[in-house]
Amino acid sequence: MNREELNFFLQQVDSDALFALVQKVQCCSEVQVIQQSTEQTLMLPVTDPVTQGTFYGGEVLVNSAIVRVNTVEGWAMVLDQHPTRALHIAILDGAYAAEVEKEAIVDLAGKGQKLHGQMNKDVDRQVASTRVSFDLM
Amino acid sequence: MSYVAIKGGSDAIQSSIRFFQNSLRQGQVIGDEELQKGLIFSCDRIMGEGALYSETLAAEALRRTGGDLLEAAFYLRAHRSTCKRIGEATQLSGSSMRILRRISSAFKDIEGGQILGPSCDYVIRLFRGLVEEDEGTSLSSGDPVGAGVPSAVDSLRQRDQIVLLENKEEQPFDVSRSFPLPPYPRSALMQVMSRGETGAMLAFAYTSMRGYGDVHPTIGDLRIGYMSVEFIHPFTGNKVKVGDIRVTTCEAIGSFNRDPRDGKLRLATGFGFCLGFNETKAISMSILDMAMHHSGYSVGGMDIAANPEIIIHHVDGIESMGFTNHFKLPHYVTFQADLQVLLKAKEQSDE
Repeated sequence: MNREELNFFLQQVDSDALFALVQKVQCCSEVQVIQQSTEQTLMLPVTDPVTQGTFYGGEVLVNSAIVRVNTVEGWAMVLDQHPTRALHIAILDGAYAAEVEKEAIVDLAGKGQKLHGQMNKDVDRQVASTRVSFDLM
Repeated sequence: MSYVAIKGGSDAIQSSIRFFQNSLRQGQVIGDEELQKGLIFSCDRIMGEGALYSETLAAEALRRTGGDLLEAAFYLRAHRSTCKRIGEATQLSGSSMRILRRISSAFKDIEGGQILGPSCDYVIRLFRGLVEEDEGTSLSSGDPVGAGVPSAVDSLRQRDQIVLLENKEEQPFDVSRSFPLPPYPRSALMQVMSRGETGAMLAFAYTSMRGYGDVHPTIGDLRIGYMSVEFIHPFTGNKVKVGDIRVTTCEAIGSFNRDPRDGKLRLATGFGFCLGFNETKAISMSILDMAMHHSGYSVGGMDIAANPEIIIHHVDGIESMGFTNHFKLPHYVTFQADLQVLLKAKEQSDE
């Protein structure tokens, strides 16, 4: 799993599991918060098929945080109002890049990936069951 | 118009707030998840019309307003203005949607198939007992739909049968920073409509089908599903997935028009997009888009839906609610002035 995948898959796991791993990282490295978890918005540019141009379809609320683990910066951005989760994922992002508890981080993100995949599979099954073919009379 | 300040009533105002909050107290125990999943369409309307995607805040706004969707959308719009904007997500495109429902009333057989998905379209609107529990009835298996399904209208585009309007903008306009002057950029109109109030959008779109227009579209591609929001990781420079959001898109096909590019006859289309699942709004937006950007859809010179001036200033629910409700505020002095004018006019009229 690469670093860019951590941000999304770590959002899928239980917050207690996330916190437990963050504590492990904090025990064996120096963690410094550069930017506390902050509420921000992201504009959503949408492709307009009528002109092939772009318009803004709204904004999405995110929380992002920046930390330093040993000498390496970590960052995370999570959807919606979850400041603690953003901070914890930023710490794990930095730890991954600093090679601190990397294996455990990949394992946890892997669990998130599995959970997400299972959820998608259930939904896909329901979606596929509504596929319809029409015949003209 | 002049305004005159009044004072007094602070205690009564505080009591009114307490009374209002007490009257909604029973709703305060409804959890976020129950609201987000059980009242999904209410939450989606709040996010779409508030122009801010946050399921947590949508649920909180529902609780605080006792389910008043316009008021709830106001909360989100207000909150949006307090947040720092960090940038833009990567471009969203309808074809990248992970589809839950996708139908076309123009084509019977389409790439990816017709997917009915979760919809109330097939429900009989009669109260016949309570909602039945799902007893795990077996679902027929089939290929998953997933993402990357092209619009059903794309086949017509590839055959050069669709009018492609000129894109005159290098950067999309952002109406949340400043309001445009006429002639309104297309991107501004689209942004205003995508955060417009569902009822207003529906009403204006409906005028174009009844007495004040001639739009009778065919739904080329209507879909609901999830789109990935991505941002650039500041330290690696690579794309990172932030999360998935619910969205609705609609491409409506109208009758043929002369293409301004070469004068050839091609089909006109309109596009609708909104945050959350809201098919009525997306269809209405696609109809309004078509009416405004293609001549020939207004009849009798009463171009309500085809007039950008009318649409851009009247579909925003929060603005129109604010202006309408401000009439509840004390207008004692202005009304007294009106009465004085009436008395003077009567005197002169009687003389």
